[in-house]
Amino acid sequence: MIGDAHQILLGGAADAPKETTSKKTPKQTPIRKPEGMKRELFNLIAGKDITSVMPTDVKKTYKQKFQTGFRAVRKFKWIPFTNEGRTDNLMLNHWVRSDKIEAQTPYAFAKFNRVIEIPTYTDEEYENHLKIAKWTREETDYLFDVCRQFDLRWFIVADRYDCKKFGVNRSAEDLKERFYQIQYELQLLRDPSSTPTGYDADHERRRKEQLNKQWNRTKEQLQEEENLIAEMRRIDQRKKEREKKAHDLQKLINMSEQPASPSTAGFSGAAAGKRNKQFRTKAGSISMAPGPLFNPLDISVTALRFSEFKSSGVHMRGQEMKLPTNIGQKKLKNIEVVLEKCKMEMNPVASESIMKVYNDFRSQIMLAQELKSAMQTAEFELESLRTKLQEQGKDFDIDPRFRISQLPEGGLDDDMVGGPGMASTARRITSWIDCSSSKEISTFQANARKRKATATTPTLTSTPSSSSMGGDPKRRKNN
Amino acid sequence: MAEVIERMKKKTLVKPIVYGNTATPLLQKRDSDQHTHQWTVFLKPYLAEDPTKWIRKVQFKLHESYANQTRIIETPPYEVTETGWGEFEIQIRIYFVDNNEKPISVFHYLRLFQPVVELPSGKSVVCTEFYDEIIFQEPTVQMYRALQAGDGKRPDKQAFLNDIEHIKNRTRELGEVAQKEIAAEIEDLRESLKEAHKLIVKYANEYTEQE
Repeated sequence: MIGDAHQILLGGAADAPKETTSKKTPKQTPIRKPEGMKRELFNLIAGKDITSVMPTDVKKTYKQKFQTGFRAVRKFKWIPFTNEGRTDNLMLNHWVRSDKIEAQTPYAFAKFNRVIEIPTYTDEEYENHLKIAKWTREETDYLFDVCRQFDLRWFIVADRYDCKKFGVNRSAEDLKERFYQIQYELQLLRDPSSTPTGYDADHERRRKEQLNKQWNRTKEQLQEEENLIAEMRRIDQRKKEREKKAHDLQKLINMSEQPASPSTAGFSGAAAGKRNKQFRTKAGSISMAPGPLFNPLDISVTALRFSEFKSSGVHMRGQEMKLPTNIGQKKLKNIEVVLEKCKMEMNPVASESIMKVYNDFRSQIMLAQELKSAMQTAEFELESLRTKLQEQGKDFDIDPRFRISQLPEGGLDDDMVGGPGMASTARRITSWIDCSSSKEISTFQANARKRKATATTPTLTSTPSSSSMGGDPKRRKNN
Repeated sequence: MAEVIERMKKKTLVKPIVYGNTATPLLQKRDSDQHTHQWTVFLKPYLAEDPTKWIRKVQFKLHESYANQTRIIETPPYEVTETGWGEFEIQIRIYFVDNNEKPISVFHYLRLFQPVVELPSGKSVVCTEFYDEIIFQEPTVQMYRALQAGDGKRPDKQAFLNDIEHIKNRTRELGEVAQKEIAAEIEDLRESLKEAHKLIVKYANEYTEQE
């Protein structure tokens, strides 16, 4: 290996190996460990071929000076030449190496003078096929001359084309249209089997118009466009959220229909089919609701999941009642408060029946919490609808049972229960559940925003929804 | 474990137990270590039976400030009596006669001041007794036999200061009452919610028609 590298480094010179061996020999005599050197370090190099660890003589190998002045200077001569690309016989001079003068190669740059073939037409062809009302024969001829002159470089053609000559203003598209139309016809005439490409002038005109419009947008227009795109994205996102919540609510409804402990709660089996059907009808009725309304599906539900012990082994009944650790502070607080108010214990003695009752009850508290917060949204929605209708001179009463925000702590009095439009229970436990989380507020704001987006009357700012919203000048302007 | 442990498929056995502590104040604070109370932490089978048939030993892990923090009791009564001045959590670890059945732990928070229970003699004592159940799911064959052998039928009422059966019933009844109440409220809320939604759709239609 070392030998190979060495050979490469020395450029494979024949005498190189000899040189290295002669260099190596003095090093092969036993070396003494220099004082102060660590034994481990010395062992690495002692008695070994250290060519690989020695710095190579880089100067000689890599820093060779560029060598000039070894060859005799060749003579150049200043001589005239002909450019085959030109037609005007212009004679120019250039420098040529004296030994190449004899070769007489054609001028190297002549090939770059590409001549584009511009089709020509006879009088007969013109009369029979190419004549149109908008163009005279003379102007067409002039156009072809200009095209030939500038090799179909259309920007230059359009620039140099003298419109005054025939008194008709021609845009670049007009010129192109005429030229390519003729080319197309001629090609078909001379070879009916060919499939020439056409030029869609209308499309080009529209394209340029669009580009112009886009270029000439004002700052305000740009701003508005950005706003609209952002708004659209927001609407899309909200729609997705709503769909997700719709799914969650279905779970909620099923749960409230059969509140049972997680061990018995049916999340599979026969009930599934029925549930799907319900979901469809429910979703259908909601899609009929026009506009961004309160949606009872705007509820997310998370059931309590107690640990289940399925594998064989020993466990305590008490462990089956432990609340999941990932339950939020808010929910934990609600459970604590309700249990305390019901004079129940946070950690009761653990028999099987007590375990079932407690686990069910705590799941029910969670469900009630979700329903209460949904109810708050519903009440809010009704309230704002009423305000809107009042502006149109209509009115309706909101039943006391929808007035969840006025639920007194400790539940409703007896005379507020059971009557028409009244709650069917005192809602004692519901009153102890706290739903005023920050998440709820944000949902309210989102709803308020949605409503505003569809509002047509500026007086809407007087609805309770907008008081928390503050102004939104951008929106108002658009209205 | 080279041998295959044979388990009783589909069998579940339940052993109710009671654990807790009693505590009485010392006549005066001991100057030597500031201790104020004497207490006893215990674990008993709830039913009248011989627990040695299925319990091999019970280990109480006291606060680390006690000498011999870990106390192992191999014969009933499974209890540790000590003096102290503070409350702390005690780990009670139950080992079963069959080593293939893993030991299980419960935690008891030692109480020195509450709750006070009146004794028939007129004295009062601080006493907590907490009922729980050990559940053996598919126990090993050996464990299954051991559990059956010690099977008691009726609660050992004499062993406890509280009427545990009464506590169980009361806890369950309170829960059931609350459950009924909340179930009715959930139904009420759900119905109201449905109605509210109908109204919202209706009024929203009225509103949009007028636009």
